[in-house]
Amino acid sequence: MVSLLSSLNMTANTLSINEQAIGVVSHNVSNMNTEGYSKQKVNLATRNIGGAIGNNVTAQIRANGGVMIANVMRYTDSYLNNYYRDQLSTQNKLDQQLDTLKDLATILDDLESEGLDSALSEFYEALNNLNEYPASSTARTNFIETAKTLTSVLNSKSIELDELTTKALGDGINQESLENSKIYVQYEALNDKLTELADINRALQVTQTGTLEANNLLDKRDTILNEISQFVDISVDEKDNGTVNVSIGTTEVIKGSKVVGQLNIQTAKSYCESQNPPITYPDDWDGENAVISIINPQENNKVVVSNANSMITEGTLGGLLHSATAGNGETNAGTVRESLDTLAQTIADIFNELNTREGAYCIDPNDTGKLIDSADDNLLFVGADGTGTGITAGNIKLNDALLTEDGIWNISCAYFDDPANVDLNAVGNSQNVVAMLGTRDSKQDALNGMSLESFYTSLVGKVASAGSSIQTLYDTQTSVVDSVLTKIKNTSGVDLNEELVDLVKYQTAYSAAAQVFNTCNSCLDVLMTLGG
Amino acid sequence: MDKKIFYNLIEILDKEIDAYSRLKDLFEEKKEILKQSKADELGNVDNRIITLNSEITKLNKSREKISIDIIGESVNMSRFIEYAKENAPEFVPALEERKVKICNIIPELTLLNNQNVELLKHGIIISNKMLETIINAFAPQGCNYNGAGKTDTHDIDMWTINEEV
Repeated sequence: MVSLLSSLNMTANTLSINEQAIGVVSHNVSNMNTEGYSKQKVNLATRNIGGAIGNNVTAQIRANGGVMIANVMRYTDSYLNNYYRDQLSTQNKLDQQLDTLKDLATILDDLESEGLDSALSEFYEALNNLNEYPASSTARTNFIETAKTLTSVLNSKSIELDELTTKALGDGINQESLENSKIYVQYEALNDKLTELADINRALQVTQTGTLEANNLLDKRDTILNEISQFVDISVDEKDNGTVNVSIGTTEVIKGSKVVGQLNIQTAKSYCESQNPPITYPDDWDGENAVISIINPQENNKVVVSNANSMITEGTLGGLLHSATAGNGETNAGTVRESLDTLAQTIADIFNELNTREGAYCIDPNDTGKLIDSADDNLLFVGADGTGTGITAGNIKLNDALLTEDGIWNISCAYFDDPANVDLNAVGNSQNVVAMLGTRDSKQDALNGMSLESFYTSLVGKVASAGSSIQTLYDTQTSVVDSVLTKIKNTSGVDLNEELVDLVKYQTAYSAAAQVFNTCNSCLDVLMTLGG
Repeated sequence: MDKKIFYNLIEILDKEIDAYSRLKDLFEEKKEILKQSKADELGNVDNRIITLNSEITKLNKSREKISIDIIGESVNMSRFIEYAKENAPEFVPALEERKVKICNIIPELTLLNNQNVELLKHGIIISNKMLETIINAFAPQGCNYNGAGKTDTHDIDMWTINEEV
């Protein structure tokens, strides 16, 4: 038979357990709108009385049966959480790509009259004018001005692309530029999150599993894992005590309570210099402006992966890192730069060749009524070193000789295909200008069989099309992420209706039970009277 | 003195003792249900208790009728035994045995009933607190102010039940 003391103790214990159970319900309701909160449920079990044998009265009282909290269950689905994190990484990468493409579209936006399309058009208009008045200094000056505008537009596009890349990854040389870049902010935030996760792991190691405290820590853990996934794609290995080991690619970055892989970032130049043997920067470097490596702070910052850029392909970091790298099949700042460089080199090649070819004649600046043979170095467009090679959108410029007082006469307007029939007095000959005008529609091998203008139009279209395509992918990905999040919330979220139904059930049952006590009390009164 | 009436009395007393024993089992069951907050099963056990109570009430009435028939009024076990000592001593041991059984079952039933009352009070308080919590969850989370500044941060206090216990 249950003793009075034992019964009282059992009842007091039950009240206490119920309080804790209801505390969990309260916790659920209070956190129903808390981001990342997983609903919890108390599982009750009968207390084990096996240990309370012998004459130890205190032990008997303590272990007198009754009810106990077996565990506080947390409603969660590991598969969904992992899937959500993967999708989140992809969404953030697409978001970053979309940002880059929007910036690129702005750079290439030629709606205003200052665009490259307009500059090319005016350049050819000036050529057309020169075709009519090859000996006119006005027509020649006009042509030089439009050519100058063309190079300026190419230069400014290049500067804008540089700024875009610098904003994302730094300029590849200066540490200060890197520290002001987007990727640096992301890298610092990611390292902070890794440290935070290691701290949560440490707390989980010393917290009993299946308790409210442990479950709250697990919620925090999952929230941080989701945040990390926004930066980079990770693999998560969960242990029985709730701690997680995290890897980027195959490299472990979190092991238990320790950060074993911290990200380190450096400029491309600094990275190249630190290699053994050093890489010549920028000549032999075709990578990104910023290089992320993984170091182990537990082993005196030993370098685990010297260049982890190729491992980081998803998330904001992945999107940023590869936003300026050409050749990965994506349209980005790198491919646009490559195309503009090709366009600049092709423009220079075409017009330099025509201006200096055999049979091309310019006007003698000392006697503007006479033609003179165009010299081989009478280039129209040059690069940084003043030659016609190594020309990019960033360094293309007009040959300095054209910008002098007599420079306008260096344009080779006349052309004689028969050296025997050259008329040096024919200053009105504009056959070479005709050939130059012909390039407007001629297909260039270097431009994939397109003309100058159509190549640029195609580039603008490619960026617009990539933007539209990435926007569609992003929208789809957002739907996927939302759908997975809804599923997670269905599993982990607090359903107030469910809690209310339970509450009404309890209240009805308790009210009915209270009435029953009145009946029982009168019966017991009779019994007590009888026993007297 | 008709001995048959004593046999009837003892038979009814046995039935009452049996019914109270079953009531004790139901109280035990109810206690477990209250401890585990199984609202669905609470109604079930309460129905069984009400049925048993009505059975006990009928037995009480039968016993009271016999008591009036024998002694002229409704009396307790001590009076039955005293009366038997004077008029039918052969029934005294049987009646004393029933008295002991009744006296033993009284504290057990009382204790269980009191425990259940406390558990139920606790449950009602908790369900009220839950309702309060849910209402707070629906209500805008604001703060109260008076002339001296903020007075209430809307903290939900679930632990006043400690004082109740």
